Amino acid sequence: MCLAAGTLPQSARLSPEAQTGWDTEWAATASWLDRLGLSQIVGSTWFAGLCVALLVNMAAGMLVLLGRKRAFYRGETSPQYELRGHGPRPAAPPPFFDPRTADAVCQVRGIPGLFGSILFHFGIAVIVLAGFWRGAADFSDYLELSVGEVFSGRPDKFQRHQPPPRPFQARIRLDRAEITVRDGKYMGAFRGHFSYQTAGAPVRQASVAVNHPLRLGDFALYLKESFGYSARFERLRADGSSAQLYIHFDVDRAAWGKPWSGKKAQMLRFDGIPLDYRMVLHNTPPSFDLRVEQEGRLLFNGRLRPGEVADLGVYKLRFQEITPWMTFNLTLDRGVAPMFAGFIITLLGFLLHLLFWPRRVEWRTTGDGWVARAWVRPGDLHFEQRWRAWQRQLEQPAA
Amino acid sequence: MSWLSPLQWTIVTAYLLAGAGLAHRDSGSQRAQWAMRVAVSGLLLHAAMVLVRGVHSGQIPIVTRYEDFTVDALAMVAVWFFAQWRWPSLRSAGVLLLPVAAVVSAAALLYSQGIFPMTPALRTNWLVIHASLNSLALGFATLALAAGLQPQRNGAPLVGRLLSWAFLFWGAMVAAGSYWASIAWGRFWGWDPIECWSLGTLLAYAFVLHLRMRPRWREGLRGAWVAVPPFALMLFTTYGLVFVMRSVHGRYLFQ
Repeated sequence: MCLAAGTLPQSARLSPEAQTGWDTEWAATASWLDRLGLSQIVGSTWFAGLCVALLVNMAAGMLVLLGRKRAFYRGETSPQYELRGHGPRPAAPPPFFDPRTADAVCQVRGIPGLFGSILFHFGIAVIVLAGFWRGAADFSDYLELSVGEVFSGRPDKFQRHQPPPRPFQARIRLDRAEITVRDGKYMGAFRGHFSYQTAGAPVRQASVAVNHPLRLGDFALYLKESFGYSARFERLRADGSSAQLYIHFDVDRAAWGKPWSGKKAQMLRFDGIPLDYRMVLHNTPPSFDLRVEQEGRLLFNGRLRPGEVADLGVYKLRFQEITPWMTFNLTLDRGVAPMFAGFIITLLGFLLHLLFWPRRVEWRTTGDGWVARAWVRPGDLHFEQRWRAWQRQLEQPAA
Repeated sequence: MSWLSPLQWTIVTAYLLAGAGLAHRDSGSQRAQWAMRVAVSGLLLHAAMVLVRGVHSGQIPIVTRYEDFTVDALAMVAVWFFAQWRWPSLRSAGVLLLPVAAVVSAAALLYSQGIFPMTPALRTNWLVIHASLNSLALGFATLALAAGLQPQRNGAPLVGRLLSWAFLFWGAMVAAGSYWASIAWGRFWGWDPIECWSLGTLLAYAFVLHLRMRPRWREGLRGAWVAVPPFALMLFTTYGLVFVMRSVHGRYLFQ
């Protein structure tokens, strides 16, 4: 199922454009995968059912294993090695048996190894449960922020325009974007510098880079590797109120930091009025070519320089400046800590299983002699070698 | 770095010669001892070459496809060398392992030997941890296979243990990658093709380890061949997947 989830086109992973392309070009296959429940494996009921079955299977297996470990510890199973002798116990003890210790009859070593596989499977159960919990509580969406822009949780800033399940109780401002490109294609410095304020706390400064997110209460802000230029406007309404407007343009790495022009055509709706915008942004010198139509009627056509105003009738736009923008990912993921705790428990358990070899060795006197018995894990070559060597030692005639 | 190709071919030749030299019944024979000397010389040369490249480029040399193959081949031979030190019965596994390492090392030369600066996502110690664990897992898995399948079968009793170490390192690699993804992209699991196939490989090894709890799946050639499918999965996940599917790994690595 893992391989299927990673190989088949999954609706949760595909972008809307890729999903449409897949549904159109491979309509029959897409339809079959849908019917078989294979177009969204993760999150489907049957996949959750499989995970539950895995948990039940592991829990039952662990109960059986616990019983076996207990029987091993108590020597209630058949020993893998047994050797009997007549007369008093020989001077050389069996391997992994120290006759000087208090318990001179039965000794168990490598006890942590008894818990290794149990801990390992418990860790997997924690990972699966954390996955369930995370699936119900997480949030992740992208937002583009320009230098100077303030964000305090407005849903329309998110790519999907959906608010997070918990209120975003912070206010952030992108103060500076540090972006350098080497040889026209390799990223040099790449960092966003922020001022931010969380509930009740003073304003602080921090920078966000890839691999260095910014924690904001329950949320975290991550920097993505996409950026560009943004035209900043002040939109002036007839009633005298105003609002900031940022129009983002994608820029190739090769063009970054050089004289550049970018085109964009978009329908923008403000105050319920949709207008067709055709725009060209030039960074050297800063200027903005704007052509705006409303249902085919030309409202404005001209070039704006910083500080100049375009009167569109329904509102005015004052072109202010060009600033860089960067893309960020805001996430709320409370399943992370238990998930990684599960990973650590799993790895620790397996390490215990590999490094500690449980060995139970008994050396008892009987009516007419002695008996040595040993319980070890299958494949314990080290013990086998030592046991054979001990046997050979006993078989040699006394000097 | 024009000296790379001749040096790498020297290493490939050393591994092939050493592998051929070890194909002898008596691992203590003079021929086998010479083979070990040649193998160690190749290993030292290989390690020095990777080290010099790292110093020259100023970054850990595991970013490009060439570097990936080269470091993986180094890990295979290094794992075998240290394992046979601890368990001399594994020495004869070099008969299969050294030629495999030679092929991987030679395959590296099919790719650009240029040095490419790292993208911001790769500038972290997690890359070193993640990639090293991957190489170690590959080294142990190759050794497990070689120990089980090599003609003298001296190392067959150790196959289970080697598979366990491969499983541990692969699992740690997945966990480290997951943590790295969580700090780089804000999600620890994105059901990306490589993430899923890595998990699939891990589960395949888990299946084999469970299977080997039964004596009939642990002994003889059956016990060795059972390790082949997960190894094939591991190879495909590491080397093949990015050629047939778009993955975040292909976007950042393997130029």
